[in-house]
Amino acid sequence: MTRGCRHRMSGFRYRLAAGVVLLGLVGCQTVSVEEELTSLNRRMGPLPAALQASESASLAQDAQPRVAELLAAPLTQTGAVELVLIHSPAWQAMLSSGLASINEAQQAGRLSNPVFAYERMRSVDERELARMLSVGVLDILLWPQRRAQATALSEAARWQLADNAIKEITSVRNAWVSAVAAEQRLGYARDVLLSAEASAELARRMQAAGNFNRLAQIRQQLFESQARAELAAAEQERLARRESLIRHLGLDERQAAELRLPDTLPGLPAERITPERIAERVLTDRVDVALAEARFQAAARGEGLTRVTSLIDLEYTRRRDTVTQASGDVERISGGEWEIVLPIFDLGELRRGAASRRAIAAANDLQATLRAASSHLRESYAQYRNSLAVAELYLREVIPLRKQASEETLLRYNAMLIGVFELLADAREQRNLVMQSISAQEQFWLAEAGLQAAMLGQPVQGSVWRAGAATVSSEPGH
Amino acid sequence: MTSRRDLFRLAGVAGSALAGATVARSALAALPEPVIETSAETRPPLMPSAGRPYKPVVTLNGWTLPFRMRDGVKEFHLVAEPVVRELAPGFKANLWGYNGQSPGPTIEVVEGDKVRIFVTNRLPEITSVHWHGQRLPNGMDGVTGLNQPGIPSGKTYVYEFTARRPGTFMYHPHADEMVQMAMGMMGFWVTHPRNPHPLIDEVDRDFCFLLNSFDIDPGSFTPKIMTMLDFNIWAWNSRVYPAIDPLVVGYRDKVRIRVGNLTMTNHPIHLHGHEFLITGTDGGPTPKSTRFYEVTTDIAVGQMRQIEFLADEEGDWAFHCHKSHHTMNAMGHDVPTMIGVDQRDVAAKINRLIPDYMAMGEAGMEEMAEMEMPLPDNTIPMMTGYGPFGAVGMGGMFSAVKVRRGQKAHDYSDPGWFQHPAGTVAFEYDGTPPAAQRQPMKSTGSKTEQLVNVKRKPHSGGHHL
Ligand SMILES: [Cu+2]
Repeated sequence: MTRGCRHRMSGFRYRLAAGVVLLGLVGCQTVSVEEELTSLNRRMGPLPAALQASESASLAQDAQPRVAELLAAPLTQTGAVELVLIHSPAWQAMLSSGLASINEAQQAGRLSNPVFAYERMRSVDERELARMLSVGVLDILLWPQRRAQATALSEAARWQLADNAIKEITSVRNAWVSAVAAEQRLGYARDVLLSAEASAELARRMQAAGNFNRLAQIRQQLFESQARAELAAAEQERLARRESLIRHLGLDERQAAELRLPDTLPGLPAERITPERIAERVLTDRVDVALAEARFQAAARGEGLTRVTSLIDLEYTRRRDTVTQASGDVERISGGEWEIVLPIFDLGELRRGAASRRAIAAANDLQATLRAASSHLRESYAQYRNSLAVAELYLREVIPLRKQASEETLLRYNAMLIGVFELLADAREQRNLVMQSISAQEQFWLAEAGLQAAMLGQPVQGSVWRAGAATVSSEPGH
Repeated sequence: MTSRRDLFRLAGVAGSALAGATVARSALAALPEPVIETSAETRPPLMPSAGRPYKPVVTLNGWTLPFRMRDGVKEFHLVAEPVVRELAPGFKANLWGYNGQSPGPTIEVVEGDKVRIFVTNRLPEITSVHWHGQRLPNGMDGVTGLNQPGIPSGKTYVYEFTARRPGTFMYHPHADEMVQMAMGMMGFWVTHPRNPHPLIDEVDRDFCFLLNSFDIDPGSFTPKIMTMLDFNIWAWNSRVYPAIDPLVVGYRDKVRIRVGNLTMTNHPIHLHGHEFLITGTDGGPTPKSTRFYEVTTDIAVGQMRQIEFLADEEGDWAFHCHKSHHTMNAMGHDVPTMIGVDQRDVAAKINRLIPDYMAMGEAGMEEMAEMEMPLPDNTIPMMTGYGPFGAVGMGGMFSAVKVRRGQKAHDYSDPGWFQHPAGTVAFEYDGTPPAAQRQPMKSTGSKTEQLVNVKRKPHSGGHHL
């Protein structure tokens, strides 16, 4: 979207014409969308697909084969991110409004256009033609400062866009993790119901045969009711998580129906993010620090400008009148006019104060961001490590142990030490523990996405740590 | 740390030839070498090597402790120690016992014998031995604290007394006895009559065993010592069916079986195919006037019963505790009754969750006796054992008295299954059974029934939550 750069000179031979050309060149400094996207990509780190701003229908059209390809197989987490980049309208909206903000910031670096006034007066005996061209002189004088501020502002807008983009990508990654986990848990909730149904059915037959009293039968029936309610909750959870993912991906109804997810969350990564890798991250590479820095720069330059603009404004108007008498005499008058705002009622100290405080606030914001950055990193890293440890504990120890417990429980059933109801209760407990294990894996992947974002400088607010998933409950067998 | 007094005693034992400087050594040498048994098999009767002759007993899945004579005293050496006892093949228990096994070896002496028993304690805590039923000096009765200090770990104590009364006795600790007996510490003692005794007949076969019980969680090895009532292993001489040896006798043999009860409950011991007399208790031989024929005798806790019969019916005769739960191995007392509950379709559902699950109990539990399913480690099936006609489906306190023609006098080896004479085994009726004539029970409208009805809450109407 390269903007045309032709400014017509209209044949006026004003001395300011040179200045106008200069201004036109200034306007040409707008960065292209491609360059903006490349810059965004650099700020965000490696992405599964190239960033594209689809402002034309053809781009969306071009992506269709790839979208279909991604949707044909169970969607991976990377695939989900790619789908967002090439397909999600919400993502495109975010991208476009980010680019708009950059444009708006750049706008501040432009000079106000000169004003041309044309006046035609007629009296009984004369006709007057006045042509005036006014230019904000202070604007021009302060142009280098304004340009610097605009650069800082647009830099801030760029970092803001990067920040939004990382946030969005993190949340699509999270949405994918939660959708897969909910899907996975649902299968086990169905198993729990299956076991409870078997218990309840046997209990009904036991009562019919006279082997159970009503209380014993009711107890088993209650397990079934409870399992049914839990399954309904698991189904709702699965639906809600899936729909959330669908919204993130921006799928239409047909695509939503097509969407398939993997059966399980990925295995825990063999390669771990080490504290060294965290330490390698340079603070100034971080989005939050860069954003605060750019905002500070903009505020500081704003303060400098305000120091002058709060006191004075200066405008020059070049005027040229042509007065034609009724006699036909033509009188030409030309001259200049200076317009100065007098700082009498408003000395501008409030504006200066505000600007100066904005600058101080921005400086402190930067300081705060810098200091919080390492704390956020520490927390995110701790969450990553601990949730990894818990997820590993479940996979390596709890689940195998629970499996052994179930095997032993079956042996005890075989040996007539326990009855079928205890065996079925054990099957339920085992499934519940597996569901807890899935939650622990989910927790880890959320923490992992959180850490990735935190390393880029988009700290997750609040804790993803859910105490429930870290608790290994339920005693095996009886 | 042997005390001075102990040394003197041991020196006394060793004889006066021992002199000053070598006292400690000789004292050690004076201890009879302890004999350790490593198997749970029934050992043949041990003929006395010295002293007055007697007809030795056979200890079921046990053995008799050899003695040595020294200066007219019969010396035995009991070693109290942790042992691993095979309760049945594939089922071992970490017990405490004597000389390598639980129960300890049977001690056999003759009425009037001077007896000296060295007791070495290799347990981690004190112990003592109480000689259940014996007439002896009070200081030899073995009650820790009351009659003697406990024998500390690593120490050897000496008990000395004269076997004054012929009969059947037991020995067991009287120090932390709840724990030590729950762990299997006990043994048998027989004092044979010195001369022919009017109330003690000579017999051809003389068996003895102790009833004992354990609570061993299936899959574990060590008894739960705090259990008071809910035992799951009902044993004879720390052995359970089908690992209890049969009592093998010759046709028309006169047989004596001595049974002592060191469990926490009574056991009605029942013999098939013969009537027996109770000829003795731990109090001694019973007067003949009190003897009458029975087929079951209930043996209370801490009691001894000595039964005698003429084995004049050939065959493999069941011999067992008549509490049917005591002829089972470990089981869950809370396992629900599944009789009459069709499980087939539900089982298919359960198999989706537990592939190796098998439905059981719909028609009773005999199928258990035939099913061979994987069990927890170190566990014997609740119902097991095979005979010539299929599964026996028993456990615990069950064995058989095998009466055979031509079984040689000292041969206790298993003669195999009884060969039934033709036409003497229950057989299937091959005609058509007549239709059952059954009279439906009519309600009598009796006063009792009315009373019951009045008391019963109406079932329908007024359901409240
Ligand atoms: Cu019994």
